[in-house]
Amino acid sequence: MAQRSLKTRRGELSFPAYVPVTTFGKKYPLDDLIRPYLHRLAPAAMVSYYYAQEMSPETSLRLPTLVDSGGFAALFEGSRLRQQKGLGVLEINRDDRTEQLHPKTVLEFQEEIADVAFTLDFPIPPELDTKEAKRRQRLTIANAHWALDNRRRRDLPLYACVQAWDVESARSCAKQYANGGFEGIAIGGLVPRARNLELVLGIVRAVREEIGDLPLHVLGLGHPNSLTQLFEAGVDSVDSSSYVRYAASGKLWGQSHQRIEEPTPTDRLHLALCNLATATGKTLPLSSSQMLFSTLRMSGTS
Amino acid sequence: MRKIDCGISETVDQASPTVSWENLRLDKLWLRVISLMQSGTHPRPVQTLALKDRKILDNRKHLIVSAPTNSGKSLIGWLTLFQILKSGKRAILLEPLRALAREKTDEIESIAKDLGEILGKPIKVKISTGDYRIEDELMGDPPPGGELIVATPERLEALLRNPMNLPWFETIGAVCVDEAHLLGSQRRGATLEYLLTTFLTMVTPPRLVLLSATLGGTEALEQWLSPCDVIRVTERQPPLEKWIIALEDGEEANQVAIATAKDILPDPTAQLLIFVYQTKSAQSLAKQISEELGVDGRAYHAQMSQQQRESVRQGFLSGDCRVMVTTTALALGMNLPASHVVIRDNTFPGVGRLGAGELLQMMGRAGRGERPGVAMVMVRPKDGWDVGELAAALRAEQLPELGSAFEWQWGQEKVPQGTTQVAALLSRWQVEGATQEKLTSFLGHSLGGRALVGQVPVALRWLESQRLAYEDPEQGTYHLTVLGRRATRAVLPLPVAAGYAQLLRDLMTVDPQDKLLADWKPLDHLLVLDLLSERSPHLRRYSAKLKLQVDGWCEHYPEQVPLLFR
Repeated sequence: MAQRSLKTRRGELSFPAYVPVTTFGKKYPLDDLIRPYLHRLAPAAMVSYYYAQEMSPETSLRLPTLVDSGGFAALFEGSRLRQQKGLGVLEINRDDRTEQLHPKTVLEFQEEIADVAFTLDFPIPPELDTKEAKRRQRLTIANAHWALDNRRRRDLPLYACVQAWDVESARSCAKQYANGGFEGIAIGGLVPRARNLELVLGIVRAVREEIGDLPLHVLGLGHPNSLTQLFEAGVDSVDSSSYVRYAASGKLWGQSHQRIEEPTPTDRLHLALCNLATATGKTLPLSSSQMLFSTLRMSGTS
Repeated sequence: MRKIDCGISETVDQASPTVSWENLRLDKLWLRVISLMQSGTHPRPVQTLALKDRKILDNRKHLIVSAPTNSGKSLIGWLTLFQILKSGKRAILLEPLRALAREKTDEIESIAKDLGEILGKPIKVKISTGDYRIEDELMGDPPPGGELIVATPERLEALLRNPMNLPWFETIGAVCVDEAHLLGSQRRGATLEYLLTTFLTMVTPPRLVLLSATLGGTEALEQWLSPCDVIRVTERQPPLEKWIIALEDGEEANQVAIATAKDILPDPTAQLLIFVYQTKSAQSLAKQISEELGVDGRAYHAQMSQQQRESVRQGFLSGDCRVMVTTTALALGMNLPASHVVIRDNTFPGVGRLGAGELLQMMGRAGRGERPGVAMVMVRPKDGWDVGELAAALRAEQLPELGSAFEWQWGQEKVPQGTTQVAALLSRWQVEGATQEKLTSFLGHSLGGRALVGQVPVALRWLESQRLAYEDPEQGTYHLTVLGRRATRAVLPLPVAAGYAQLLRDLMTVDPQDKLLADWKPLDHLLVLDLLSERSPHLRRYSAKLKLQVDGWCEHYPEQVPLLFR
C-alpha cells in the first residue's frame, strides 16, 4: 500500500506524522533553541496563528509549516464570539485592546506564511451548554466553508475543523465537510477530553467514517501513550507541545518516574529533543547526542 | 444608402429612489467613500448586486464584472482597490491606454487627500506607463498608507522582466483590470494573460478584479480565476439605438459621415464621435467636417502628443468640439460625452473585419447621463461583414466566449507562440535559469495553458537558434544570452534583436578588421532598428531640399554621420 501523504509547498508531509508545536516571540525561549533541530527531527511544525505573527523571513521554518486559526482563544476569559454576516468572529481582549479574529484575517495571514492552514474554529469545552455548543459548531462550519470558497492560494491545503461535544455531533459536523473540497479534516477541542480516551477514539472513528480517505489531523493531542491508538483509529497526524512541556519540567518520555530537578536550559533542550525524537521515531543528531550526560542527573520523582 | 434598425439595447430603471446606499448594509467607512466619489447618487443594479448580494467587500474572491458602459462598474473596482490600500498594501489599476491611465490618475489624485482621511491613512497615487515610469524609484515596501499605481499592462509586464523588481510585486494586494476583454485581443491579450498568470502564481496571489462592458461567455475565465465571483448585468442606461448604414456601390463613406453629422448637429447638445481605421483618415475627415459644416471638428489619434490629445479631449468635454474623429483605439473606455457614434470602418485591410464585440464596444460610447445614445456602423458592399449577419449580431449582442489570446494567434506569427513569454520568464529567473518543466509549470497556469505548454520546447528551440538563449547541459536549465537579456529587458521585439545581432555578425564576417563596426554610429543603430521593426515608415520624398538638409547636417556633425549614409 502506498504511504499516505500530503503535498505542500515546502515538500511532502508523510503520514502518520507527529507534528511538534513551536512558538515565536519571547514567551517561550526554549522553542528558539529547539527550532534549528526541527527540520531534522520532525516532518512538519505547527505554529499557532497568534505566535506565527512573530515570524520573520529570517526565522521562518525550513519544513512544512502548519498554521492553526487561533480559535482556541475562544476559551480565554473575556473573549466574545459574535456572528457577523453569517460568520463566526472572535473578539479577544489582549493588553487593554480588543483584537478581532475574522475568518478573512486568518485566511489572509495563513496564505502568506502557511504550508497547511486550519479554518477558524471555536472549541466547545465539556461543560458548555448545548445551545452555545451548537452555535459554536454552526459558526465553525460556516467559517470553514467560507475559507474554502475564498482561498486564493491554490497550493495551500486547507483543513476544515470539526468541533463537537460527543460522537454524534462530531459525525454530523464531519458530514458537512465530506466531499466539500477540503484537503483534510482536523478535529479540535479534544484536549479537555483527553482523559476520556474512549470518547476521543469514538469521535475519531466517527469522523473517519464520514470523511473517507481524506487526511485527518487531531489538534493538540500528542502524548505518546495515546498516539498509537489515535493512528490506529484513523488519525494521520497530530500536533502537540507536550514534548517541550515535559522537557521544561525536566521529564523524559518513557521515563515518567524520573525527572531532572531545576533543569538548566541545556537540560531542557536536550530533553525536548529526546522527547521529539521519541515521538517522531528519528535519531538525535550527534551534536545533541553529546549532551546526553545531562540525563545522568535524572532522579526519581517523589 | 439604406438604414437598418438593429434595435435598442435593453434598459433598466437604474436609479430607483427606493434603493439608497444605506440599503446596501455597507460599513460606514464605505458609505463615506461612496459619498466622496459619487455624492447624491443611488446605487446602480450592478453595484447593488456586487455590494449587497455578493458582498464583495466581505469576501476575497477574484471578481469579474461584466456590465455595459456607464453602468457604474468602475466604482466597484475602486472600492476593492481602496480596501487593499486600507490594509497598507499596494493596489494596481491596469488601464489599456496611457491616456486612460492619466485620466484615472487625475480622477483619484483629486480626491486622494479626502480619501486618505476617510481610510485613516495618507494615500499615494503613482502612474506608470510609457510616459511615466516608476522603475527608477526605490521599489521598496509600500508607504505607510498604501499606494495606488495606475499602469498599462505592458508597462507592468516590462517591470516584471527585471528580477530586482520581484519583491515589489509581492507587496501587491489587489489588481483591477479595466477593459478586461482585451484578454482575448490578438495584439495585446497575451501580455495581459501572462501578467495575470504571474499574479495567480505568486506566493500570495493578489485579488484580481476584471471589469468589462463587452465580455461574452466567461466560463473558462471563471475556472481560470477560481475562486471567482461573476457580477453580470446586461441592461444598459441610458438606452442605445443601434443602426447599420448600408452603403451602395460608389457611395463615398466620408460624404455619408458628413451628411450624418449634418443631420445630428443642429441639436446644440449633440456631440458626435466618428471611428475610422487610419490616423490619416481621422485628420482629413475632421478637416472636411470643420470646413463643410462650420463646426469644430478635431482628430484624435496615437500619433499626436499627449498634450495635443489632452487638449482635444478637454475640448470635447467642454462642448467646444462638436465632432471628434478618432482611430479605434479610443473605443477603449474613454469617458467622453458623445450623444452619437458613427463607425466608418468595420473592416481593416490586412486585419479583417472587427468582431461584433469590438463594434459594440465602440457603439457603447454613445449616450450620456439620461440621454439615449445613437450609434451607427457603416457597411460597404466589399466589407467583411454581410449586412444581415451584422444586423443579427448587433441585435442579439451575443459575444463570443472569452478565450486565451494564445489560442487564436496560433501559427500566425513569425515567432513561435509563447516565445516572448518564455523569454520574459527566463529574464525574470535570470540567475537560476529555468528547466523546461519549470517553464511548462508556469505557463500551464495560464488561461491558454494546455495549448501553450506544448509550445515551450518550440519556443526554446527558436530562442536558441536565434542565439537569444542557451541551455546549460549540466543543470538542464535554460538562460538568456546577453543579447537575449538586453532585448527582453528593453522589450525589444525578439526578431528585431535577433536580426540586428545577425547583421553585426555578418559585418564582422565580411570585414575581419572590423573597420565598419569601428565607424558604426548611434544613428546607424536607429536606422537599422527602424528598418527591422516592420512599422510603417514615415517616408518623405527624397527631394533636393531634403538632400541639402541631410548634407548640411552631416557637414555640421562629421563625427556622428552614420555609416549607412556615407
